[in-house]
Amino acid sequence: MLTLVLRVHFTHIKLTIDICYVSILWCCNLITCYLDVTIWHFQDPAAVVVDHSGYAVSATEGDHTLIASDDFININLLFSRYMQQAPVLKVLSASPITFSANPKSKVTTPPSLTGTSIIQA
Amino acid sequence: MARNLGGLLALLFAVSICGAVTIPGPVSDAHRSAALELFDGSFSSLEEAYEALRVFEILTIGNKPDVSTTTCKKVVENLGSSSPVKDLFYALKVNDILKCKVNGDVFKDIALRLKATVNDASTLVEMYYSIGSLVLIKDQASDVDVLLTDADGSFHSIKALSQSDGRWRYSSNNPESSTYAAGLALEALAGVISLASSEIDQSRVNTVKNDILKLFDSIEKYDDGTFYFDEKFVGGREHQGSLSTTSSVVRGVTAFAAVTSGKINLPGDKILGLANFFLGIGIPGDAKDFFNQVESLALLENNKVSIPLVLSLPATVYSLSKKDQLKVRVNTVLGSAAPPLTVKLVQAFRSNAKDSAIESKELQYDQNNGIHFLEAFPDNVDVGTYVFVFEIALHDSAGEKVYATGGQIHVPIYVTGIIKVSNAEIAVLDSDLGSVETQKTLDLAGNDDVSLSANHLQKLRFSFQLTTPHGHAFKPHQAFFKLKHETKHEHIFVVGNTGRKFEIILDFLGLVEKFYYLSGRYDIELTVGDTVMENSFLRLLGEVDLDLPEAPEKAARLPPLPVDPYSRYGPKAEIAHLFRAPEKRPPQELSLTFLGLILLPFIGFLVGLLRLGVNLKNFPSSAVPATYAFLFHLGIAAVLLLYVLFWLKLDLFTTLKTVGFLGAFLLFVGHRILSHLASTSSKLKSA
Repeated sequence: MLTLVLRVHFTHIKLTIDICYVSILWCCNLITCYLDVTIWHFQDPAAVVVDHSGYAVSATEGDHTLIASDDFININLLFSRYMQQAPVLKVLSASPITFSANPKSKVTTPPSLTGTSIIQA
Repeated sequence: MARNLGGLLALLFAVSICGAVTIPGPVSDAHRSAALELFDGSFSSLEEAYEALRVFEILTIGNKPDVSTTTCKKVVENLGSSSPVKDLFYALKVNDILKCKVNGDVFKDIALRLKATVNDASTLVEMYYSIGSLVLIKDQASDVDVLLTDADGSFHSIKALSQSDGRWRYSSNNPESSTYAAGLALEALAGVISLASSEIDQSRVNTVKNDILKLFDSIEKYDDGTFYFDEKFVGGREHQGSLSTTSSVVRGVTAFAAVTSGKINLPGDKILGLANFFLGIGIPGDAKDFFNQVESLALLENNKVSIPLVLSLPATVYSLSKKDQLKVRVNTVLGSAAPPLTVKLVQAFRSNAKDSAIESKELQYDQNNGIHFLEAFPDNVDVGTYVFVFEIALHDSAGEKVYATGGQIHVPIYVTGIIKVSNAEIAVLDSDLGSVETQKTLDLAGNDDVSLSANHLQKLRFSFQLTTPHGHAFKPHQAFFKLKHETKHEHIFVVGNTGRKFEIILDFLGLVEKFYYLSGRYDIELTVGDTVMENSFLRLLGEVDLDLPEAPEKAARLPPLPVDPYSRYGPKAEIAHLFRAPEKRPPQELSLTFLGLILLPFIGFLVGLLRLGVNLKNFPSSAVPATYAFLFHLGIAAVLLLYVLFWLKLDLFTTLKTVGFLGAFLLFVGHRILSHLASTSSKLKSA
């Protein structure tokens, strides 16, 4: 079972996608990778990706922004010949319940990014 | 460029947010594991060796790498030769921990040299290392005379470099003042006081104490009450970061307080703020930063000014459904037990309101686990995010040690629980009269689906209720109502609340443009989620068949859906190859008739041979000609057989190749047999 736990900040500059790729290469069947991913989006600067179902359960962190997800791309696709044509692949996407919002304020308008359209890696 | 600047500011903003929420705890085993990783036993200098050994000593790490032999060798080398005073200083520091076997005469020689250096030193750093080394010799070799005969002169030389704001200059010809240098100077002054043969004048000591107070007036402060020191002039020579600067000041102030009588009237909250600064940086990845952090915490652990006490919570997420208990731990900065004290929960209020949920409550103390706990949350603490305010009250105020507990400590708390979903209804209304066309009651915990139909003149109304474990109305962070067309186009609506009920009414007449006049089946999906909701859910409610009018000519077109990478790079559909249909064949009877016609000439040929009188009378009777005749006829038969094989299976090239060989063979044997027949015939004629 592939599991990736990561926190997504829209305005976070840090990009550590290589860690995830290395993890996939080294351990294709069981991956646990904590990752910060950047998605540049001109929304509320305090907006992060929130998942109220698939979050990492923690005793000291309760804002549901550390996301657990297993919707990985098919591993065989990474090693097929299609990989040479497409250097950018959607390796991991969010679950349908995910959305982007400021976790400290109520949501009053529909968010522009929800569900599997949020690309995380 | 503007984007990068905005990103950088956002990064700083995020870092400050992270800093605000962090509740630092005392030093734990995570620090010990990090120490064993950072200090792996290979040191490039005695300074690094000292830092590693000091960290291992403070954290009481047992299974540290054994570096005694190689390091003591370097210590003896440095103490024996005429090393720079900095190397002497760190060699003595290492020797203080490792207790290497050094000859007593070596200490005497070093002490004599260092005393001369103290008198001749012109920079603060030289005085710092010289006096520090003499203090170390005093501890390690009690029979060596290290007392300073002119302590007043040394004290005055160091004091002359101080500035009016409590900072120090590195030398008399260097106008740049430094907070880091103030730490060095205070430590050197403490050394002078402990090495003085006669007591230093008290008025000079009081002047330095005033310098310390002025130094603390320029302390920097974060919003969460953390204090730290920083250099004013960035870019100067050997600029020190805030961690090393703060660590230097802590070393100097604690050293000075240890050798002087009386108290330095520093506020307790600043000492506690310094402790929170060192604890709040977590576990540094740099060896020197790690050493600065750990040694500063060790000095704060047991100092004469005031000892900081750290309140920490093992967990800040509490579940009402599991009946979690609120637990609080109070320790010193290195994790030792605190003196007898009481922890009070002074107040607890919601993070978005100011009404208090809990009035003053005293936590009970669990002696075995060292934890203060609250038996159960009061009934008016419902699910939500709170700020709990704690206070620490020490029992015995007349103790010898002075403790700094800080004032009120604010801790953000999550109280989670299971939210009850009830009274879910979905209905199709007529737009004009408001009458209910179709209404269904839903059980959101079950699996029943609805199947509705509506046109553009009608409305869709959906409502439900959310209740907390204590029976109050609950407003979640996420309440989305989604209509998803069979072509994967989605429309999201936020379900608002009116009073205790959540309700959304979709007037399709006003939404036909938003829906791009797309009729058909729409799946209805409800998502409810919140940080304090333990049963957040995404639920498919059913479907609605919308009958919308045709799109006008100038209506907006449907936006294209994002292409799914799976469909682009995945396996293609299986190709079903279509071969050409076989051509029509003639009937079988017709084919057999023509086969008979083809065989007729062969039969005619055989009949012709019989009428010509073909016979075998001239077949030779002797052995050798008979063999040639036999082979000749066999070759003729082979050629005929080849014709048949060519017809059945061979191609033209294979046939021609075989005929070539057979032809040569027939030419040879035919010539011999015909020669024999010719000679036989001529003999018969002559006879």
